[in-house]
This record gives sequence, C-alpha cells and structure tokens, in this order.
Amino acid sequence: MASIDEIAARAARDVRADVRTVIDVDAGLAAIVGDTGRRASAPPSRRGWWAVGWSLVAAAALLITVLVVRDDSVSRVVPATTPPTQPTASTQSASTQSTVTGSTVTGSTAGTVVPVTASCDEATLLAAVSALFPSRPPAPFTGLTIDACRGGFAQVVAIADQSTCPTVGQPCYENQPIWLQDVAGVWTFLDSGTGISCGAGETSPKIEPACAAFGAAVVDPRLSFEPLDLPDPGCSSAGDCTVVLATESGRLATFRTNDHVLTFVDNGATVDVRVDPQWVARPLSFGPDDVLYLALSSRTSADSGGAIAVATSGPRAGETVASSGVLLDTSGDSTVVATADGLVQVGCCGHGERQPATSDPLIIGWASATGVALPPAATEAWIEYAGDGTATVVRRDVGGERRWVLDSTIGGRDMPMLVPTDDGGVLLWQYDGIGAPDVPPVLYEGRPDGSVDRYDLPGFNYPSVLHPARFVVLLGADGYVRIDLP
Amino acid sequence: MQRGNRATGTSDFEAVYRREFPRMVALAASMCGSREVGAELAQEALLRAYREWPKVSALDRPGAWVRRATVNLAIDSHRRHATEQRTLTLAVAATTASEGFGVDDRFWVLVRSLPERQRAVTALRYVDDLPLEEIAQVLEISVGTVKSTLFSARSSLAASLGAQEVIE
Repeated sequence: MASIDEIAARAARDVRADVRTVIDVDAGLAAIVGDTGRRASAPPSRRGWWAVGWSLVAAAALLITVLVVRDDSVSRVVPATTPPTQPTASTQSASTQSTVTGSTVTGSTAGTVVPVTASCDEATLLAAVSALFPSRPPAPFTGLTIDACRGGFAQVVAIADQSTCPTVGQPCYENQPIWLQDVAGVWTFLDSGTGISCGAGETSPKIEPACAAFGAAVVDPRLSFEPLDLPDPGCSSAGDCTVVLATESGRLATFRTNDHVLTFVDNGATVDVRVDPQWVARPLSFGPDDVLYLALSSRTSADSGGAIAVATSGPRAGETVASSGVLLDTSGDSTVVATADGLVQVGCCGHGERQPATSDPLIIGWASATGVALPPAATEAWIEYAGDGTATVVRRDVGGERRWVLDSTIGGRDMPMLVPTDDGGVLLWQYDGIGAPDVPPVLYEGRPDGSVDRYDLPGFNYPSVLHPARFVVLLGADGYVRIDLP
Repeated sequence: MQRGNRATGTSDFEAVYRREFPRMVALAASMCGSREVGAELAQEALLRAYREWPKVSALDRPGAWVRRATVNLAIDSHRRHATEQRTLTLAVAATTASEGFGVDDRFWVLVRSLPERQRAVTALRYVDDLPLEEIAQVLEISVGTVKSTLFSARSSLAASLGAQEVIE
C-alpha cells in the first residue's frame, strides 16, 4: 500500500508536468513589464490575458499617478540626482499656502514666522537621511524609497552606495530602513533597523506613533502584557500538541495531547486524563466544576468519535464522568462554542442571522465533577447579524438582555470567540486568518454600560483563552502572553 | 520579518517572475483544478507583486509574498466557483472544473474538498515543496499550526485514498 506521501509526490509531479502546456514565461513577463525584447508568443489563456491587458492599463495609470502626483503616501524609488535641500523656516507675506525650498509653509499672517512642515519631497528626505551619517562624506546613500510619509512621520529605505566600498559589489552599508519624525519642520531620527515595521509583531515603541499616523494597526497602547512561561503549541505531524486552557475560576492549565496530561500552571499539579488509546483526544474547554471537555476522534475511522467530560478535581479526577456519541467534525470546518446548555458545534464558512444558531447541534451538556447533569447556565451570549453588515452581540442573564452593536463587520469563516464576562459584559475576538488575513486581530469588549472598547492586537492572531474575569491569553511571536484588561 | 537589501528595477522583478511563475501556476492549478485558471491566478499574483515592487522587493523573500497572493487568489477563486455551483441550476460545465492531472487526479479532487487552510498547506507542501517553516511564513501562521493542519489533511486524504498514513 502506497503511503500518502508517495501518492502526494506523484500527484504533485503530475500537476507540475501538466501545467507546462500553459506556461509561457516570456509572454507573461512581457505583458507585465512590456516588451523585453524577447519572443512575443501567443498568450496561454485568452480569458486571462484580457484581464492582464486591462491590468496592464491599470498598472500604467498607477505609474503615471506615481510620477505626476506629489502625494505623500505613495511608495517610490528615487535616485539621488536632485541636490538635497533642507526644510527651512520662512517669513511669508500674506498667502494661504506657499511652497518654499523643500517645505510646505502654511499660514497667512504677514511678517511673522509661520510653522514649517518638513517636506515629504524625496530630496529633502534623502538629505535628512544622509545627514545622519556625517562622518561618511559623501553621503553613503544613492537614493531612497519612501514607504510612507504623512502625519509628521516618514518611513524610508535608504539605498546604500556600494561604489565606495573596498571591493566593488561588497556593500559597506546595507540598505537602511529608517524612520524619521518631523520636529519643527526638520526631519529627525526616530528609529532604524531591519525587522521593525508597522506589521504584526514588528513594531517598536518608538515607531508606534508613526504607525498610527500612517494608519497602520498597532497593538493597543492601553494594554500591558505579562509573558507566560508556557510551552509552545509544538504540534507535530503525529498530533502532539500542547493546548492552553483556563478553568472557570481562572486557573491556567496545559494539556498535552500525546500523553493526555493536564498540568495546572499555578502549582504544577497534574492530572492524568484517562482516555482509551484508540482515541485521539483534543481538549475543547473547561466547564463548571473544573470539568474538562474533550473531543475524541478515531485513529482509524472518520465515522466514530464523540466527546467526554473528565473531572480534574475530587475523587474522580482523571475519570470520564459524562460522554456523548455525537460525532464532531474534525476537518477544521467547525467551531465548538460554549452555550448555556453545553458545547455546540457551529459550522464554518459564513453565518445565518445568529451564531450560534439555535439549531446548532449540542455536542455534550454540562456535568458536575461527579457526573451529575447540570441545569443550563444562567448566562450566555451570541451574535446577531443584521443584513446591513453590522453585528450585535447579545448577552442574556438573570437580569435580562444586553446588546452591543459593533462598529465594524465581524464574522468570517468561523464564529468569533465570544464569552460573557463576570461584570455583565462580553469579550469577543475577531480574526479571520483565511478569509481576511490582512485584517489584524481585534478584541472587542462590550461594557456593562453599553459601550464598546476595541483593542487592536496585530501579531496575536491566536487566542487561547478569553476569560470571564476579563483577561486573555494569546499566542504571539515570542510565546504566550496574558493581558488583563484595563 | 527580517528585511534585507532592496532590489530595484525591472531586472530583479524579471528574475523573480522567471523563477516563480511556473511554480505559482502549478500551485494555483492544484488548488483550483484548472491549468488555465491557475495560469491566470499566477499571472495576477505576479502583476500585483510588480505593482507593489518597491515594497515586495524589500522583503527577504519576495517569493513568499507572491505565494501568499497566489494562495489567496486561488482560495477566492474556489469560493466563487463554489458559490456559482450553488447558484447555478443548469448542469453546465463550470469554468473551473477539474481537467485532470494524470493518474493521481483523484488526489487533487480530494485536496480541493479539504478546508481552505488544509488545501493551501497541502498544495504548498507537495506542489511547491516548501518546508514547514516557509509555509508558516507564507500563510502567516505558526509552524505548529502548519504541522497540525498538515496532519489533519494527510489523515483525511489517507483515509479517503486508502493510503498508509506516515507518522513522522
């Protein structure tokens, strides 16, 4: 019997060979960058090349725009042929707006010195960047690329001059990403270096104001992070993962899927969760009474499985106290969500008017640590989607219903993570890694007074815990962190 | 993400295009089931790279950017096709219908039935022959997530194909 790797490798070879019939690199390249002097061959796909033709027109229009419009937000590569100029303060006669050397001067009071804004002009920026290296005349940079320039900040990449190096072609300087701040009309150094940007997990405190000015998402400055010494998820291909969870009382715990050991982080206490070896066990959530709920899937058949409730304290710690034969979707196309009645399975890829829907199947009901079925919880939350793209988070408890209308579209492929909080509010996590990977993660908090706080958390795509006690545990590039909400 | 020396100019783009275009066609074709549509998507991804070249060329791996664009376009294409299939009532041949990729076409039919992330990870792993770390960079997910996703995909495929699952 062939292994899946052998089948996949053969299938990959087939597809690579098959597509050779439609690959014409010269024609494709010429369609994008123009005639490169090579053979102009027939397009591989008529329908595709119509689109490419229009795209080419659009690209040409874009280039013209870049060349003509002196907009301060476009990226462009600039040769250092223009004599650098420095922004200068100026005395202006009455006018509404005038341009002086390298600077835009605003103001209208005759005979007075008016504020000067540092120019986003490339020559000005290049001069400012070169001035950062006074010991290396001539300027070590031959040009620069302006990634962003607005709101008093500039992000550029200075192109290193390699011609002055001891060995031509071996740069003395590497191209330098540099961040500048406009201070009274003069570009001053803010930060520099590779590996920093406004992107997820790459910001530095120095550049956060710049990122905000550029409109890039940055981690909400109201939040502070507590690094947690928790193991990396480290899932191997054999399904060996460490999963982080929290009990209802807020105790953090890790669960290893290879040996089914639950470890409480605060005191290191462990519980051996006893699972028949025929099953692969994946933790879903803690429920009331510190009972841990796990999904079971068969190692040999996709048609068997279920869910179990395991006590983690008391005389039956480690034992299954309740179980269900409801088969869980293990393909990744569903989300398991806690409701008042227990855990339900919410399908992927969109939503109806409500998530979870009242028709979503109950996987397993809540049970106590001794296996007694518990009555429905008093508090639950769900999301209602209006047809206009807005969403309302609803919380129902003994006091009635509270609603929070969110100011942006939520909901993507999977149901957003949602929990009611102990203070009468809700927490909701929105990130769609497949459907909208460019939209950074956002934590919404619906406050008891009806207001909504929004926390941008780029770089922390995957939450492990949203807890009713208003803390979250997130996995970032440097490991797990805990954030207690302000 | 580490940023390195910035390539400037068409010649750098040309080098990337020549290196990546055939691989992106295969990648997209495996995900959407049509070599012609795969070629269109790969071309579109590289056109977008060209438009964003000052930014893309500054990346250590412009190819990762191109791959991500290709994967996203292929997923979008697959979604549109799925929507069309639900909408259309006439049994007409769809533009993105599978054309067959040799003896193991069944493999790709099954891959295209997987959840989107599993589909992308499988295509990047086998068609593009990327290591797990690079797949994680392309999809902007953790290596652990890549491993677990690939494990799920392989398990599903092995079960459907009656193949032997290899535990690494």
